[in-house]
Amino acid sequence: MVSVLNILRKTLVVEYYRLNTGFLFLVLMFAFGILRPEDHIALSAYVFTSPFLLVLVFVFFALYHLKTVFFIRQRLLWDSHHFLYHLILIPKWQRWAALLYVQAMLWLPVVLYAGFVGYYGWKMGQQNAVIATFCYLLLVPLTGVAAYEYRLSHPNPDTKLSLLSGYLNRRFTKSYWSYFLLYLFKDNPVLLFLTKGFTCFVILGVCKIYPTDSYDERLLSLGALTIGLVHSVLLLHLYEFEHLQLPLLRNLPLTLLQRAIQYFLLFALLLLPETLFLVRYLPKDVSWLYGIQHWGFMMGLLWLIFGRFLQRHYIMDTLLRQAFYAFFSGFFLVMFRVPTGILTVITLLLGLWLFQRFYYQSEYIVHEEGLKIRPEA
Amino acid sequence: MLQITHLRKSYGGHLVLQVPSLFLSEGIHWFKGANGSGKTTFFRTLAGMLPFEGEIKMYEWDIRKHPIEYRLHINYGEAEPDYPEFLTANDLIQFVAQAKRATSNQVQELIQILGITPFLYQPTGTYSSGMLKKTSLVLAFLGQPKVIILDEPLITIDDATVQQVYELVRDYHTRGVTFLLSSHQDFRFDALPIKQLFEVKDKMITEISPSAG
Repeated sequence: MVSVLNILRKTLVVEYYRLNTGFLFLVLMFAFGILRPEDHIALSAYVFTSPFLLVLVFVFFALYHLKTVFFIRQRLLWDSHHFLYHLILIPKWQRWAALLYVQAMLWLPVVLYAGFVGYYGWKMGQQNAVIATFCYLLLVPLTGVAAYEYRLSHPNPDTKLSLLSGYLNRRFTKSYWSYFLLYLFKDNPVLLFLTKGFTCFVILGVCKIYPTDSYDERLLSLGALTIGLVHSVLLLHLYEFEHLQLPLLRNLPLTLLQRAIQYFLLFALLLLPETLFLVRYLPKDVSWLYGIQHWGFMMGLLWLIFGRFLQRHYIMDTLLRQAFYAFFSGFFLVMFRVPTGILTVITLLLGLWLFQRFYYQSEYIVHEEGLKIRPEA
Repeated sequence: MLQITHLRKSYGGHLVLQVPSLFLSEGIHWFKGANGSGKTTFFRTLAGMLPFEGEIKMYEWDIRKHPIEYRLHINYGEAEPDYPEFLTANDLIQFVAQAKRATSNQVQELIQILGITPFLYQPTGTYSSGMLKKTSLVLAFLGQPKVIILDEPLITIDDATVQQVYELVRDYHTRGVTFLLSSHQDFRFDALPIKQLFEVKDKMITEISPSAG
């Protein structure tokens, strides 16, 4: 049994955390970087007293759970991981225990966070809500075990093209600006929904906290900074998607202006949920002009991050370090009262400059092993 | 027609190809070389898809100074095409046709010739390697190119399609289109009037006599 757990830990658990270090770090950065501890406690008290908000938090946890389940199920489709189907040969209870171990390890960040806020919830007398939360935390991993068990007993799933897809493919031609969004919906839905869920939660959080204390607009700017940086992972996917799956883009006779318009449209669509939340929840004493600057700052950050990807090939590890530096640079600029309008203009101009300077210079660096000359077969 | 000067292509500081000077006149040119010798890198560089050091000009169009005119007149067909699996061949063709200013008649004609009608509206994720290759060939012939680069154009396609590709190359060639073809198999382009034969080896490109191929 120990050897089985060892294999699962190395092939699934460690791999998951290795590939999601950037994502988890960015979440952690927001959770314990921007909000003060008392804000966390205030937020948790608010959530534990409201069944609606508690369910909303459960939905977020469920999205994270889905992300982990999708990850494992995808790995089980890989040829390199087909040996894991031998798990079906070990006794049922041992197999379930091993799968539960995997799911529990992936579920750990949620358990730790829930433990932290649950402790304060319990102290504040919200025992029922805390107990409900922990029952939920215990039950959800079981659905992951069921999903893996199903995959192990139903390998090589067949995919069929629905009649509706066939009709839509004949009726409509997809536009270039929609390619990346379709890619996210098709190949990375959990990353998309988790990112969007988190960023909308940030907007909602800063807009709700803003009137409760003597905050100024810097709180909203820090929210915009976080939202922009959280999009780094999505933009890394955009960079990789275009280089690996659409290299023909750079052979097309499109002007940089035409390309920039497509990216602007794509970024505006990516920011649509945050835009809607901002319009809905912008505090009354914050001017619309500031709201526009806030949106512009997020847009500028997207351009700046994408421009940096074009300037230099990043992998997740370097992205993590850069996001860390960028966050603290932005944090100090905001805290030292650099106006959001100025930050918007600087990030937009810098991003656009990087775009026009490095668009054709950008290339996806393959591993050096791939450069060696292979003998003829 | 295609002038390459002081071309150096590196990946992460690792030099993979250098071409001090190369002039390609109009005609059909064949580039041979082992897998990983740098043919694809060379072709992708010429197609404007990779950054490089040096100069590349097609007629009066410099790849950097005239990025639109240059790319309008040079097309590229991948050796092993891979597209986003949710896109259909039709999505890709319409997108590239618009950018390359191809007429709808030309689009329909190429779809017919290369026989992709049966799977035109299916997502490319469901395609075999041959179907992907045919799609990439349609894309490579769209518009009014002056140069078409076909990287291993005959792999994974059936014999009937191979004949269609020969016909298309001959037809476009008579209309003044220059072709840069690659294949590491000696017999594949015997049916075409090859003007120059090059070998890509040891990070260099050298011309060899057709008889030596």
